[in-house]
Amino acid sequence: MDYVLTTNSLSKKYKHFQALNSLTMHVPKGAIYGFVGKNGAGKTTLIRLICGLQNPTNGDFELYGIKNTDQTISKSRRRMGAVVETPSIYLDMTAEDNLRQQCRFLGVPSFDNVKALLKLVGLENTGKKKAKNFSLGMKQRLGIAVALCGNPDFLMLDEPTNGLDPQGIIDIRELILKLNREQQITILISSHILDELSKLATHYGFIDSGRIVCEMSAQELEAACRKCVRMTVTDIKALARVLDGMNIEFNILDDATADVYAKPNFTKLAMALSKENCEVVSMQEHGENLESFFVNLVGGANYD
Amino acid sequence: MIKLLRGEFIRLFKSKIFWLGTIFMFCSAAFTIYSRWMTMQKFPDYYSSPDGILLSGSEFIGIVIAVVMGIFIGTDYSHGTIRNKLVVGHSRVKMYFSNLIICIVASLLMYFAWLVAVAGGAVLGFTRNFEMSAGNIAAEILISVFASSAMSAVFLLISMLVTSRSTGVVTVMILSLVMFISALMISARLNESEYFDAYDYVITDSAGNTFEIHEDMQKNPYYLEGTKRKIYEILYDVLPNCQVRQLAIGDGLTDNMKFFPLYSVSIIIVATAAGVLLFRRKDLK
Repeated sequence: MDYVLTTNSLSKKYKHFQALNSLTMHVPKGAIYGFVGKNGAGKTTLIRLICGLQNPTNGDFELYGIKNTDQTISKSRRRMGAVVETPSIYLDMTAEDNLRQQCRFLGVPSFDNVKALLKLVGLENTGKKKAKNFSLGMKQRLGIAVALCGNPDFLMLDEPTNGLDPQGIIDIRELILKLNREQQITILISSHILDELSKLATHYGFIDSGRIVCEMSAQELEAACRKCVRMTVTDIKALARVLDGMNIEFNILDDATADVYAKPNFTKLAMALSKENCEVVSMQEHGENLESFFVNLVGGANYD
Repeated sequence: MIKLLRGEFIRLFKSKIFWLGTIFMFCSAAFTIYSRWMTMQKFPDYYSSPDGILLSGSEFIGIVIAVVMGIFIGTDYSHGTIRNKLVVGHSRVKMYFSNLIICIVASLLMYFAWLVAVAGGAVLGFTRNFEMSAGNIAAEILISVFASSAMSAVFLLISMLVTSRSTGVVTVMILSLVMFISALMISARLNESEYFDAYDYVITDSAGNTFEIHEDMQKNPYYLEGTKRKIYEILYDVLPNCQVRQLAIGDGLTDNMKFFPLYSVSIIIVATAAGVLLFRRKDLK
């Protein structure tokens, strides 16, 4: 598999705080890599290191096969764009001027792509409005447009939906999907909104205390998230006896509800319960989602 | 670096704070010329040469540079746009040098605004004629240019290392004021006369008796001597604010002034080397 970014035992220490602790991760080409972790887990620190804003204390990383210690890493960086924490835009400039400015820094010979970029992020009608008067969602989209100025193959977005309203979140999600599907841009996206991330990501990296706890594809995650049937009955003891008798794995949640981890023949199950004078009140398919998977993986008690 | 310079120069010329600084320098010079002209109208014997005004602009350009460049450079941090340059592969060394060039050019343009106003005032007859030769004026302006470039390099060092724009601006402003006041103080101490003059005076008491009193020359306790005076003299020559102070209050070029550009270039080199070294290691957010 081709990787856009690989990190090898990457560490970063701030005085007495170990932000990254021998972190190793792999971002496949063409992926939307969901980077999941608690606050302070090290997500933003990693993005800062990759962007060259900070230097690692130990370890290294490769961007398009070029090590960060190599002098030519700047060439690799020209193939990437990033929005780190807040959008990096000149607030006293218009959206168009911001893009033109970034084009100048990149040495892009013409501004032909500026209008197209504004249209792509839905800011084509902002005219002479200064960025300081934009909504948070508009600023976020402008930040992404600035990051796209150099036609990057790899985009890193650090919590791009933070603080956005539902429509803003949908806009950003659609933009990310569009960039990945239509322009084949590999995207690394860190987010706290796990449900939102699950609608986008093709790969996941779970980070905790500066380490990657688990890396997997969306398919692998789906397989790992156990599906079950949540049953509500009038006699939970009867249900337990019947399921034990049928050798089916289950988990009792309260005195009326249990999760059944299999797909038994429900007619037989209902008949068996009927013999025990137990009625089935409701049955619904239930699956572990990204959030519960993450909580189980890194320990829910500490989740903030 | 050309890409960075192109982008930054366009940002500079679109920057309100830069134009405010330039207009402020122009108006300050125009006001100085005008107030001297008003005095000349009231007192025809009052002599106003444009030489001193021409060179005094560089005395307080440091404060203007501190405000303008502190805000201009600090904006890159406060808006986070410094990241855009690093992310796309610009090296920190190139970023530092491009900012140095921008700061020096901006400070010179603001200083030239002062010079243009003074020269304009002189041409339009608001002052008397220049006393110094054109060559001397050019040489003194050149020294001022080097001195203000040295100030820019020092302020850039601070602006690039302090990531909070407000803290950075306040820090460079305080430093510029300290440098300005230090130059005045050093100048005052070095210009203290060694002795108070001897004098005779007559006192008449209530009974009509008169007394003639004679006092000898007295040693001025504020007069600097020995090593202390040497140190003050070195600082007076080396520090850019002190250099421009000497130009503003002096009567033309002196022998020691030929070394001033050398001192200024040394300050630029030291400040830039320290700045690049520290900025390369700095963790940015």
